[in-house]
Amino acid sequence: MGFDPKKVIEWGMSLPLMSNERGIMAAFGIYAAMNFNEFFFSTVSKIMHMAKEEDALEIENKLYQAVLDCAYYTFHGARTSVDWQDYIAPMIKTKEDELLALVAFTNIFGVGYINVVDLIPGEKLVTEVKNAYDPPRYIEEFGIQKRARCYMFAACTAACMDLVYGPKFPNGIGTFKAKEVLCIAKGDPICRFIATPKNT
Amino acid sequence: MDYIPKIRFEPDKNLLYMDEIPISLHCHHFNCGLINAIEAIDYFDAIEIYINEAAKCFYEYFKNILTIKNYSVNKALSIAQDIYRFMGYGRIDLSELINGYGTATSDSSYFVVGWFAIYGNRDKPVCYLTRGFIKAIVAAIFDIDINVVKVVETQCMICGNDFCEFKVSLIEGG
Repeated sequence: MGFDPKKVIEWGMSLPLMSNERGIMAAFGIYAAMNFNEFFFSTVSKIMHMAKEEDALEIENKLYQAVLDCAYYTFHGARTSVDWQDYIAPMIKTKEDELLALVAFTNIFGVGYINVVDLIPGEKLVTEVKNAYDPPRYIEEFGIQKRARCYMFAACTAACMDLVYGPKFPNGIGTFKAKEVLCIAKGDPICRFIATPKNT
Repeated sequence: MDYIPKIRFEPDKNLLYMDEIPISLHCHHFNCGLINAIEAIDYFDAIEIYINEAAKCFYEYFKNILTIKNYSVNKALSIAQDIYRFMGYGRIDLSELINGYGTATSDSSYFVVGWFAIYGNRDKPVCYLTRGFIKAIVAAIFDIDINVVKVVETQCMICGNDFCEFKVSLIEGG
């Protein structure tokens, strides 16, 4: 793992991510917006706690899918951009470098720091997050949770594997499925995610 | 712009702040996907929860800005428009809002372009977050209880209208 993820973060920080005259922030083929972290937490947590068990699971799956779409298309847009080609691509020598670069790219959106802890090329990716916004808020508001709550990082972990080891874009989405095996909201010391091929 | 929020990023933690409030950047797939997921619930009003939680966050944020400096009503409304645009939600005209009543219009909407890009047109307005935003701004600027501010999107570009329109009023007896 010779690739330095910090270079991607430095690059990301230099991007002029600003809305235009019409208030639209278009970048990498997607529309971005700034959201209050508390807004997502308070909305989703309240709805999850009010929904019937089966509906809560369905909502969770839909949110996972929404983030998977978000990450898959945004990260692909980034890696095919002229800026990426100029600055990041020359540092990428292997698929594993590209995987590390894409995970590092997650670390410019303000969602908490995601770190690669294990990678078996084409088979498994393990990531960890220590400072996601939602888990401590879940504990504050609702106590220790029975289920893991960080669908956002799970989907990002899977999307990175989809882009690097899945079929060529746009056909690779959903090739991998990630599960959050440890979550601070459940009382675990860290949030840990494992992505493996969906059909295993 | 009358007001430019201060953005601070902590690269070692991947934490982003706007005027020291934690924020994050998300794309239309997630923002519209969230709406799509919760609109399906039919035994409680999940959309009302979404609107009210958005309103609470915007209210806390905007009230703080108003506390720091004593802006006139017109200036405060103009600042709110700037913040809305800065955050990437589109372009909105709040200048016709007076004492908790009036009409706001938007000729450019993040949720309209985002929803259209994924799902296409629809019959129902989609700018729920904007309703929460307006609710908060009206409550903060005109010093009104946020719970009595009512915002209805009476027309939306996603339905084929030329612009989005939001009617603002106060709930009777509030």
